[in-house]
Amino acid sequence: MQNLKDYAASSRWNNFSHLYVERGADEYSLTRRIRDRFSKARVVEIDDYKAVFARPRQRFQAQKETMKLILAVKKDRFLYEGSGNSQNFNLEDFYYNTLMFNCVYNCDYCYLQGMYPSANIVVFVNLEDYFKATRRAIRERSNPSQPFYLCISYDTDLLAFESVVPYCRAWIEFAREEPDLLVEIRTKSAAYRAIGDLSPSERVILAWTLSPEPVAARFEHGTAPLNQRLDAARSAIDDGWPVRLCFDPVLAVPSWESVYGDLVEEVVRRIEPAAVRDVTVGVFRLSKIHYQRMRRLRRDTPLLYDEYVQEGTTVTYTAERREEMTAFMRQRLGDHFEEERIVTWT
Amino acid sequence: MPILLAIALHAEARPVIERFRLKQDASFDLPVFRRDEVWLTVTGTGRMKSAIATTCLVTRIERDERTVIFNLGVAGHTQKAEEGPVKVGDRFLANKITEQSTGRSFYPDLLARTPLAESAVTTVERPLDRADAGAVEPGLADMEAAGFFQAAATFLPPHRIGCVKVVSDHLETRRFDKDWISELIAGSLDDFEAAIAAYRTISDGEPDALTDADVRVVEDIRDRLRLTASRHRMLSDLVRSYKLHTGSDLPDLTRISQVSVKTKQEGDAEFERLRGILSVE
Repeated sequence: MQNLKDYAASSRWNNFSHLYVERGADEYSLTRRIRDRFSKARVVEIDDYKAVFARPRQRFQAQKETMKLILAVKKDRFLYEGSGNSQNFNLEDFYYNTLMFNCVYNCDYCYLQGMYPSANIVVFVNLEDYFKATRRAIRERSNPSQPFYLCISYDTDLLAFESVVPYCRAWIEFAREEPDLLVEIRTKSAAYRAIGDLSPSERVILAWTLSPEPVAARFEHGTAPLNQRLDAARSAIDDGWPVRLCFDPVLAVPSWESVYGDLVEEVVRRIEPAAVRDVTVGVFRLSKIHYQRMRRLRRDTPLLYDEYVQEGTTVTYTAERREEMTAFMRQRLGDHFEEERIVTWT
Repeated sequence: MPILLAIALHAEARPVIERFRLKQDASFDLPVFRRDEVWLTVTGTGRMKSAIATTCLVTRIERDERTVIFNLGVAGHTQKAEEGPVKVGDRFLANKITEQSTGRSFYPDLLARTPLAESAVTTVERPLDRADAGAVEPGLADMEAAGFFQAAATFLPPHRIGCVKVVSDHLETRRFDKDWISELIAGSLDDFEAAIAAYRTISDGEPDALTDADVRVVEDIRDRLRLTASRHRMLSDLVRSYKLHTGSDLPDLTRISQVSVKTKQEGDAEFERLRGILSVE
């Protein structure tokens, strides 16, 4: 077996070395655009995205280092009701959609690891079907006095991927045609310039998730550093966009009070609080099923081995700690933002 | 780190056996050759035989998380001779394996970068004629890959399963000389070895914070304190949590690992003591 040892360790493939293209997806313009963008990628034709995405025994973290792109046509379920683990801002018709499965980032606390069998990215290319379903849902919403609230970057980070798939641009243009729609695009990227040429819309909230720099560096792999996220958010505000700042998840890292206190100070130093639409606060929480799967898969991150309790189907900090952390954040943020602009998950 | 090889014909297997200096292992019911960490089975022709022999090999070997398995063999190519870039002797790694009889396709997970070009492979029931080339996806046609892959994927993750095919013909019907087949395979072995080496570099993710030594300590304590399976799991997690939060090695647990308890109550008391030592709050 000496020969094998003589070979230098080969590297992995780069991200998106391979495109898996569902048979029906080829006719869509998004597919053509992505194929052009990755013209050197090896293309494999597939019948159904699930045959690749849902293979048994895949290793999520191994795939994260060499993600493939799967281009597919979504056949149904273009909208999902918002989860109880998210804030609904008192909007009764709160929905999210899944334009993509997975995310280019790799946060240690991300529930996608416990939700999907694969880390490969599925891009659904039939945008018009999503628009059609959304138009119908807006018309049929339960409370016509409120907008139909739709989070389009809920299970992913669309803005981070905008240069590859211009979903955000498409949805911003779509929102301009729909007066009763309110879209949230949440990101940990600094890629605002990808949509910076668009005129702002009151119907689209650009939301930045903000974490203390040590937390971002340790647990939010691949994301933009805090200062770049703040620069991006400030540019969006300057251009007239409604901007939301999300302190979520707040993690009980060592000296969390000082770490998160510093974060709030840094944020208000860089961004004028009065110019921010609202802020959200939520402590670490996961569905029990995702948490259990993640613990089986990840034995390398302290985040999944903290002292948590199970409340109903949610795994989170103890009530006492939750209240302490939320109260701390409310108090610190309350020095700069009115009470009604601070929305918390507890 | 076992390397498992499933090869249909003796003529295909011979150069591999010579290259790795494998010796027959008579303890198997099927032809199996081995040396150190390399195991090779000669499966016979056809997807069913390939699946059976692959299953037999995989289930008999003590696998670990770096075990890889490969199918290697010759295959026809749908491109006409001289009408495209593919030549006899070219080798490919399968990126899609279609079972013609069922229409189902399977996809090895291509995480490792190898020197091999890639191709779709269609597994057919009997040798394909040139006239029927249009009945399969452009690429390679063989008789084993689909059986091999389905059997291997029952036990191993898809990024540890590779299927390498060497072009023997362009679907012209003819009989192959065994020595010539051996020569074709022998010519592919440098690339084949490089592919195996590349697959073996891929880990399943970040390693467990618990080292083998930690596992031994935990198992020793489990035995001494007569811990239940659930307590054993809790202890493993406590140790993992301690190491991940403190970034340190385990504290000295000699005193506890030397205790032997007689009753469940004594075991519970010791476990609580242990929990205190490993608490990171």
